[in-house]
Order: sequence, then structure tokens, then C-alpha cells
Amino acid sequence: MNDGPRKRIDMAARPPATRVRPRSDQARDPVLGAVNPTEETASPSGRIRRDLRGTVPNGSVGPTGRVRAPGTASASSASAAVADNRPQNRMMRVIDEPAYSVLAVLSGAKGRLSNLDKAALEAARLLADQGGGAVVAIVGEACGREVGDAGADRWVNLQAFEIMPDLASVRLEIVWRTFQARCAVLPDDLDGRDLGARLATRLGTAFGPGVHTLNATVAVRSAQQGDCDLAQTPPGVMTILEGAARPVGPEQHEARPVVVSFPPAAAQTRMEDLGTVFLPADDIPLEEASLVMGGGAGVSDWARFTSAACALNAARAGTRVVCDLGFMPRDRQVGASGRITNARCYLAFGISGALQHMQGIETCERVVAINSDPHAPILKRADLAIIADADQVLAALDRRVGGR
Amino acid sequence: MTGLTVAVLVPAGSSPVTNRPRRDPQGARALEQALRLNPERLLLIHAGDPRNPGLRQYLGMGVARIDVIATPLGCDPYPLLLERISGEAPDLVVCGSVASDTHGSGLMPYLLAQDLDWPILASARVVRVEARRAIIDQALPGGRLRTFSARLPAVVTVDAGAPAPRQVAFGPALRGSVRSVEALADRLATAPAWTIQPARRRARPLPTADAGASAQERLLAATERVEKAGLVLTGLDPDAAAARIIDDLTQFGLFRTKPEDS
Repeated sequence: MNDGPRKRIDMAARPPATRVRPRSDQARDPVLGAVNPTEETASPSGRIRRDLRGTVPNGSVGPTGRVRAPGTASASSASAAVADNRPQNRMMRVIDEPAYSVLAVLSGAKGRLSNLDKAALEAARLLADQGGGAVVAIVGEACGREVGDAGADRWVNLQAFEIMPDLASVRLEIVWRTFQARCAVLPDDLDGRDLGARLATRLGTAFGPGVHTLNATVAVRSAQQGDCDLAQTPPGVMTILEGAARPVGPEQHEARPVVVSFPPAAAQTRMEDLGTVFLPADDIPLEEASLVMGGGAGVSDWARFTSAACALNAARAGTRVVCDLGFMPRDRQVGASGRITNARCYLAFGISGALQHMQGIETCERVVAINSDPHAPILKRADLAIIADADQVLAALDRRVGGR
Repeated sequence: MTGLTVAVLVPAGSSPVTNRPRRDPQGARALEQALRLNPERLLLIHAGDPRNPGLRQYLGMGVARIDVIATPLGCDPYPLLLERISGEAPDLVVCGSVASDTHGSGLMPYLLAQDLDWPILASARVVRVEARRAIIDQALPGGRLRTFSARLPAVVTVDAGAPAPRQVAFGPALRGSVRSVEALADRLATAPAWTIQPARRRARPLPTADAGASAQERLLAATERVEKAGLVLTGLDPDAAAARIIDDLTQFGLFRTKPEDS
């Protein structure tokens, strides 16, 4: 409270007849706070009373009307759960007359915004905020609510990544002309670069794939196999890497839905999608596998290891010791001088947990270790550790799942 | 394949370690895919310096001749390239997805496809031609393989995930001919829009708190290391241990799930 000397609420000065409701009922609505936020009323003695219940940001109001400071509300209280961190508590920023528009074409796969999508929105927000522009998010229906939190002022319901790229680029051009956009940003993956290049050639603008640093005046991307950085004023179409721009501010944005009509027979696609197949985990690069089975010096039956890994659809990996002895090829070595796995789950059979190997599994979400040594260093890292002989457990696992 | 004419557009490359001229890795993969198609006629086209010794490495892969549009440094050979392709009228144009010696935006195949009004299939791993249709496989992250097809004539770009190109044989490299087909008239090189500087290491992005968080929350988000206590099970017999592992994977959603669910 920085409005001068603290105003005290004089209980004695209020005559009982005017107290029609108990004090606690004044702040009944946990979301809005006081019914009359910041209204200054005069008590009968002339003192000014100010009801502060509605003004504490991110605070919550308990059932008795007492305002709780943020962070002290108990998690079990229903009102705390309702009031804290709700997006409606953030200030809404509405841009009615944007000077220009920036398109953010998002994938919205599986009904949520990926990290690359959010990076694209951050970049679009940065480019729009330079000159009072608006960010137009182009994503499917499932993410329509989410894009407002992530910084979009307008929303166009178009799944640009689910339809054929040549058709998508025609529709994106229509959206560009509808909004008279100044630039477009896309997430930097295979589809994003393809769509971005098609859009750039249709529009005749410059194209910058893989921008890793973006600020108001300069977009930087790498070229020549990572040896050089190319810097330029932000081109018309860009694909953005994660972490290129700073995160979106605390304000909530509108994400006003805008309907753009696409003439039905304007474009036909000349490409045909013949389907997608999934390769077994062993055949894909180790960095992309979600389940990795690592074998260490404690494993001696490698045939069992292979068949168990095959049955679980896990990618096989090994430690340096195992690769030195020739049981695993060198390109399957995981560790400081080998490869790094980003697996969701790493099964470590007979691995002691040397520091160099741990560097390779640092980013794994979950580590399950099977080792006969109860003092192995890997147990400190493992989320689940089973003290048993790795070979025997592999045999049992193979019996259970193998051959199906 | 009878009646198939394939044009391959290749850039110049240089070794990242020694800077010596060599074949471009993606250009070589594009040529490899074109050679595997076994076309009746293969046109190898390059725009650049005809005296570049790295071009001979393409010839060493088993091609008799490379046609070079002599281009001074900094000039744009695209109009002559377009004219050449339209003149030769191939069924398929194959190139790498980005060139390593230039700005590397990978836009040229798309411009070509637009000006020729052909469909373009990008980032192919493997290229096949069946019944006048080009069929490509794309390698997507997470082990997915997606297949696209389009009617010929088409433009196809091949990316770094394609199979490794064949070795360069010294004899054919020497015997093949480098033919300079046209020369770009000496024009003023256009000032490049991009400025090139040596790459700097990017700062690793720190984990950030939600936008609007207080300074303390942001500091904790960036620096906090959560120490998790794992569960240690002893005295299990191997069968019980195997059952436990399978339970764990099932709970985590990784046991026998379809890959598209992950």
C-alpha cells in the first residue's frame, strides 16, 4: 500500500444499524474479490474507507473474506485454487487498430502448442510489438484458446500443417493478403521449412530458415554447416528455433477469431500422401528414440539383451566398456564421448554409472537401473533401481515379452 | 529406367576442416539418388566456376560430363539455370535441399518449381519413380517415415538424411569432362542482403519461469536443481523384477504403445 499513511478502518465509528451483512460476506466472490473493488466509502465519522480486497493482484480471498497474500494460500482451499494464476487475472491487451500484422503459422499437433510453436509466437510478438502490430495465429481449433495466453491477437482457424503443403501455401497467401501482413514466422522443423519456402516463393519475399537469434533489427541464422552466422533485417518469412526471442510478457492477448474464406476450387493439390510408417526403435537415430535399453559390463548374454530390446521396441545402447570390447558397435555408445540420449525412459542393465556415461543420459526423463551392486553410482540417478543380476532379469524379461 | 531424363543440380562444396574444394554432401546425395534411378539420360548441371577441382568428384561417382554455367562470384545465375532446364525438358529435377557454400536458404528449387509450374517434393530420403510418378520418403523425427508422390515432371530435393553417396573413383573423375555451357555476362555483383560473420556459440537457453513471474521465481526456475529420491528394490527374484519393469513402462506409457501415441 503506497498511498500514504495507512487508512485504518474504524470499527467503532460504524453504527450497528447500518451493518446489514457481516463483514465476511463482502468479499464472497473469490474471483472478483470485493463486490466494489477500490470503492472509497466514507464512514459516518468521515474517515475514508477503501476496500482493498479486489486490488491485491494474484492474491486470493478466503471463505471468511480475509485476503491472503500470494503464495500463502493453502493448496487445499478451493478459493485459492480458483483465484491464483488464472489467466483472467492478467491484464488483457486489446489491439483494435493494428498498424500491421505478423502471421504465426503453428502446427498445433495433438491439440496443444509445442515448444517450437511457442517460440514462433514469441518471435511474432517481438516483431509486432516494435510498431504496434498484431499477431495473427494460424492454428487449428484445438489450440484456439491457448494462443491468446501465448500472445496472439487474432486467430485464424486453419490447420496449415495437416493439409498438403502446396494447398496450405495458397491458403496462407490468402491470409497474408487479408491481413496485409508484414512478415510470417513458422516453427523450424521439416514441415515448417517446406511451408515457409513455398510461402516465400509465392509472395516473392526473402526467406530465412533456422533463425536462432531475433531482435527488433536483426535476424541471425547459421549457414555453411554451422560455421557462419548470417545477419539481416528480419526477412518476410522466417522459421524460428527455440529460444530465439524472449518470452511473451505477462499480459493476456485477445486471440479474436477471424474467419477467412478460402475459395473452394481455387487450388488443387498435386501431391499425394501415401501414408506414414513407423520404424522400429532400433533403426532410428539414438537421439530420437523414446525408450532406450543400455547394456553395461554386467551383461554377458547379449543375444538375450538384443531379443528383449526388440520385443520392447527399445533402442539398444552400450557403455564405453562394452563398445571397447566389441559387444556393441561404436555408434551405439552413450556417454560423454559417445552419443546423448533424450529418451523418455532409459533402462540401464548392469551399468555401474560412471560419470562419463551419466553425461549421456542427463536429459533422460526416467532411468530404471538393474544392477547387482547396491552401491553403484547409478542408483543415485535412477528413479527406480532393482538390485538383481542383470542377466537373470534380462532372461526373465525375454521370457515374459519375447516371442509375442 | 527407359525414357527417363533426370537433371541433377549440384553446388560446389568445401571441406569444413581443410577448406579444400570437394563435392557438396547434399548435392552428392542428390546425385546418388538420381544414379539409383538408372535414368536413360542424366544431366549434371552446376552454376559456378568451371575450374573448380571439386566438380571432378561428382564425375568420379560415375557421370561422364558436367555442364557448368560460368558464374562470377556474387552474381545470380538463376535465370540462365531456368532457361537451361526449360530447354532440356527433363522429367525430374533433383537437387540437395540446401547448398553449403552459399546463404543456404534452400529457396532455389522452390523458385524453379514455381517458374516451371511443376510440383515440388522436399526433403526426400529416398526417391523412386513408378508409372510416371515420383515417390519420395521423408524421415521425420521419432522414427516416422512419410511417403509423398506427385506426377512427373517434378522437382525433388534430397536432404542430409539420405543414404551416403558412393565413393569417388579417381579414374572416372579425371576422364570425365567439365563443359562450360554458358557464361554469365560480367555484371555487377549484387550486394548480399545478409552479412556473414563467423559463428558464435549460442548461449544455452536457461529454463524460464512463466511470463510475469517475480524475480525470485525466475531465479529459482533457472538455478534450482530438484533432487529426486529414487526407489530402490532389493530381494526381488528375476521374474518379479521383470514384472516390475513392465509395470513401470506401462505406467509411463512406453510398453508396447503404438509409436504415434508417444
